[in-house]
Amino acid sequence: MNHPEKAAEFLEDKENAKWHDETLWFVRDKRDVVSKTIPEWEELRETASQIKNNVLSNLDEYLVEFERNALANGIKVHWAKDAEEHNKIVLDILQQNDCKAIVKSKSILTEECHLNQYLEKNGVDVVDTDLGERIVQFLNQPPSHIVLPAIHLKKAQVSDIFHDKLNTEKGNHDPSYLTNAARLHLREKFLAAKVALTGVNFGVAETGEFVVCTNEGNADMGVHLADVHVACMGIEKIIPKREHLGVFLRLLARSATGQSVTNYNSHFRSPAKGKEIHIVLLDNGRTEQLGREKFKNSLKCIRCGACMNTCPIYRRSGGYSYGSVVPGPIGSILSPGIDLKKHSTLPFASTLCGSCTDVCPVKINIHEQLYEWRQEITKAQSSINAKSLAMKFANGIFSVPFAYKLGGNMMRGALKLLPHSITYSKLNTWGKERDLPELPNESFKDWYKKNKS
Amino acid sequence: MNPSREHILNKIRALRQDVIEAPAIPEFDVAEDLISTFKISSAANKGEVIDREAFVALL
Repeated sequence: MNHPEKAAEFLEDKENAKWHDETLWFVRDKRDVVSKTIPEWEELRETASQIKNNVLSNLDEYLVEFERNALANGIKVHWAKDAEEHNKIVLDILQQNDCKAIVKSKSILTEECHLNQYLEKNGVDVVDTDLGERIVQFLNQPPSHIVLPAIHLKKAQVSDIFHDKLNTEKGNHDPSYLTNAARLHLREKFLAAKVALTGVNFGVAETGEFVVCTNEGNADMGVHLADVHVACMGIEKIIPKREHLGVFLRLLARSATGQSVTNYNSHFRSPAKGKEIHIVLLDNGRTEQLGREKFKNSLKCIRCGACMNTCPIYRRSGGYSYGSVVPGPIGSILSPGIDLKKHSTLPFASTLCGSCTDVCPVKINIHEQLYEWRQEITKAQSSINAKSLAMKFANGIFSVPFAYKLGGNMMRGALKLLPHSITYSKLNTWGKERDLPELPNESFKDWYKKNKS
Repeated sequence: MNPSREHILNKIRALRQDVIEAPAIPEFDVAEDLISTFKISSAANKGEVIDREAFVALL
């Protein structure tokens, strides 16, 4: 199923669709309020954008600098050109440590690599420790939003899931009660895990440290209890200096959830005595995206999800309608670069209103890139399709005045006479959601001739 | 040498040949706030008592 089909399915439950729309708008609204509390907001966005421009233009140097400093700090650095290699590296580390169960904090990159499924196939039990991620993991679902993984579920649904999986009281959907049940359940997992896996929000080239941002402290809990920490990082997550965190951390929390700062901004610089830190640097198509002049800006993304919260299409179609790990506007410019055929409908899942661009903390021109992808997709698709044939036919009519006049006269007559079943047949997809306007008796040209004085 | 490391870096270096002048990192004052934040965090890590109001004001 493509995006429009999945979106139509989502919209069948009108009440749920309205709730989803309003819930995400609430987050967007919080972002607006908190961003206005700091006068230099636009300066921060511009600075972040320019730092990222610099990073993308010097990425090789920053990666080498990061690696050199991380190695000097005692961190083991691995490089993976694709998801398969990434997963193999992680599995090798687990096997070397005789590890059969890991705790994992939120990492969109590991979702991108389908790491959970890979590890489970190889006999490793993976427990997502972010509360939202754990909820969707119980359902064998991926996150529907990159910051709010279970935003599509209501607390009553979570209550049912917990009753089924954690044996909580049936019908008790008090958030504190459910959260406490999850804490007790996860505590056992934290204590048992020898290896903890995290994502990375920022890798600092000048120090070789990396920063993980969570609101629940689950990354820290996992890492501090385990002997081995595996951190998985996309190569674009590099920033040159530690002081640049002063820009990005302030933008990230405000844009993502409307908080002034994320609850836990944890810096990992070197392993404690007797422990190990591994970092896996992943390409997986990022260098291809870097080579696409029109689209390389998308690599500036800091995964705040603000473009999703503001997007009228995302809010009204749900994260799963996109069929990609990163949904919403930013996903719609990243995903076609990975698989153009599979994700060819995503750049059309936009009104091009530009709200995504307006809220983006690193000033990615998202709506312009969506428009660019539409053109790329139209070029790449077969020239023989209904839309292109219709356009060619229309071009023939519009370029010949006599044909245009004749066509206009014919259609004004025919549309009045043709039965509804023909004018609104399945072939007329335009008419699915719209009514034709009332037809005038004459063309504007004829009317003008009569009425000009 | 790690072949994937070289593969990734070589791909990026090949792209760099097209870049005439890399954009510079802008000068900015806002980082001063964070440097102060780090000083406070660092003090807190050493067990020093920090002024919560002052810390929150930086954010």
